[in-house]
Amino acid sequence: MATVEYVHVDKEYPNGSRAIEDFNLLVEDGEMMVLVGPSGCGKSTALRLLAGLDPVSHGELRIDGIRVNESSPQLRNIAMVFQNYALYPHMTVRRNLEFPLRMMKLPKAERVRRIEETAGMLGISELLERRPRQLSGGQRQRVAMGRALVRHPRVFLMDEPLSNLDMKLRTRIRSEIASLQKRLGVTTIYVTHDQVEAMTLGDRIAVLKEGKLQQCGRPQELYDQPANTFVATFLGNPGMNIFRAWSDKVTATLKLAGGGWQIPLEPLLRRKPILAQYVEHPLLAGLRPEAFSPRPTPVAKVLIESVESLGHERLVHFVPLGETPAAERETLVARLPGPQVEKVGQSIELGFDSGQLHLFTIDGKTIG
Amino acid sequence: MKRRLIIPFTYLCLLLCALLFISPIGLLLAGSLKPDDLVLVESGSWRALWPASASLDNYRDVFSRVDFTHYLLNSLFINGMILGLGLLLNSIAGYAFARLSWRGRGLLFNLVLAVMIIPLEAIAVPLFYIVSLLGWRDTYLVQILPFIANAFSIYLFYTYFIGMPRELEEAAHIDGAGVVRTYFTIILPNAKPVFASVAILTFLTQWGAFLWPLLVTSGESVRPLPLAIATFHGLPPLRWGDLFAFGVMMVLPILSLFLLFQRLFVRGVAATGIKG
Repeated sequence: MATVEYVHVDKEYPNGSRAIEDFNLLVEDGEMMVLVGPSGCGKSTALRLLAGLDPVSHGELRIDGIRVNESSPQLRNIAMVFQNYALYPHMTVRRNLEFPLRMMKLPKAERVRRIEETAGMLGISELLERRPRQLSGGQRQRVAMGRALVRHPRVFLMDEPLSNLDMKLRTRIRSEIASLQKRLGVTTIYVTHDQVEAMTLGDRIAVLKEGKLQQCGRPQELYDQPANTFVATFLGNPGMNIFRAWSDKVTATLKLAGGGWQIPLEPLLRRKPILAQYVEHPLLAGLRPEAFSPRPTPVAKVLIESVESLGHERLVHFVPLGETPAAERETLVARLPGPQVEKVGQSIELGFDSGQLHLFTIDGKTIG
Repeated sequence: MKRRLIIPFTYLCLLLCALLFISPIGLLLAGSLKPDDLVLVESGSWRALWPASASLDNYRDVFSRVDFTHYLLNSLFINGMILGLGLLLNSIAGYAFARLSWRGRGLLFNLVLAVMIIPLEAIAVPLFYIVSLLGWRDTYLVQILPFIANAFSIYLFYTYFIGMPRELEEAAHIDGAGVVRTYFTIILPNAKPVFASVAILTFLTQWGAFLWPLLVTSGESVRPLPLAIATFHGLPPLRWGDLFAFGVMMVLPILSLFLLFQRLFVRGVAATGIKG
């Protein structure tokens, strides 16, 4: 068990490209931290730096407050589960689990005890004499976790460990990982590009984009109070709708989506006094798909573009019919309960809960 | 109808091709089992491939006329050393080029690729001059040392290693294995196909080596089989049956090596992209 710190960490490649830039993060003892972001955002690089597979260009990596930049992977006592599991193909499951213990020069009796203990915990005892090619995807995943856990590491790293599994198995193993991590209390850093995995697994989530940390916090916190439009659109499926807004001093209203919706400015200013700085400035507004509803005010006429029916709910893609020319209208999506009742091309009235309205500066930073 | 005819026709063509390629070996084997006087007499007919009165007399003759075992041991020793040391050295070099990062790697690798196109015949004379200066003539060393490092073998190993998942090595490093241990315990056991391919290709090239041993050896004590068969050919009386028996015994080691590693060889060829 240990704390992990990234202090102003940079990773620069010889060609000058930067995978990680001024990365700061503190992972608490026993915490499950999920690094999430799109491909190429630097999340796997952050993991590889900590594992000691790549050297840090600038900054400091600390485990339990001690600098580990120069330590070998083994000395850091970190275990890692790779995306493709990286099981040694020529060794049986038992030998795979035993390999790190041999490297630690543990006596045979201790090696056997640990292998049996780990195999029992992960339910792979009956697979010990098989080779990796004789295992299913889920079994390989478990063995890879076993090889990592058998060392009793201080920090457990997982690099998209579920991405090679089918949806059903992924859901099952996801909950197994969560309960195992809680049971063992090992500090874990988990990398994924899947926001559902991030939301369900993480004690905290760190969202990355182009090598920079965008926001770090509890899943619900990030969902409810995103720091910028990137985090807002990345978390949630579908992500938050982002569209143009304009606060009009004369009418004392906030005009949304080309004037399709208009809400009084006063209550918003009371809630977010800083908004006063942005009056008469172009803004970005954000609404989660579930914030829409046919009933609450303000109501605007919208044109249905398409409807995805999911049985218990439906995703309605629509354009608000404001003063904006048709070519500039933004398509938004609403999550409405119940089966489909709308028709494509139909114009309906749709409102939203103004308490759920997010406002961002034109360059995407949250206001208030 | 057309399709029905094409398939048997294709098989017939393939069969004829196979016979064409096998016939010299068949001729060699049949000739080695025939009485010496029949070898040339029957060579123009189908009987050339059929030993009617087969015996091992020619093989016994070979052993009584020359010290075949001595030459065979010479060849096995020289080729065994080239093979063993070559596999170790070239595979390590291939791994270093494919996986380790070090200054000058790109330049040196390009040099290795350039060396591949230089034939031995082109450098035989300067090489002969060097080994003469070193006083290595008429030794085993002179027949082994120049052939251990091989650019083509390094290239084959490089091609194979570059295609192996990097995560295997990274997992081993995290588990606590250094570069050397990772190479011997993780990489090497997973690279059997390329080792088999390189072994067979090296053995094929070196087993029949004639020019270099002829240049650097003068005494019989360190000479390999290809020189021995040439000497045997000139040894009166000329007996074709004996010569054929000598040939069969010379082919056997390489044939058994190929049969032993055939499956791995094919996999290695597929993995490294070698084409014949």
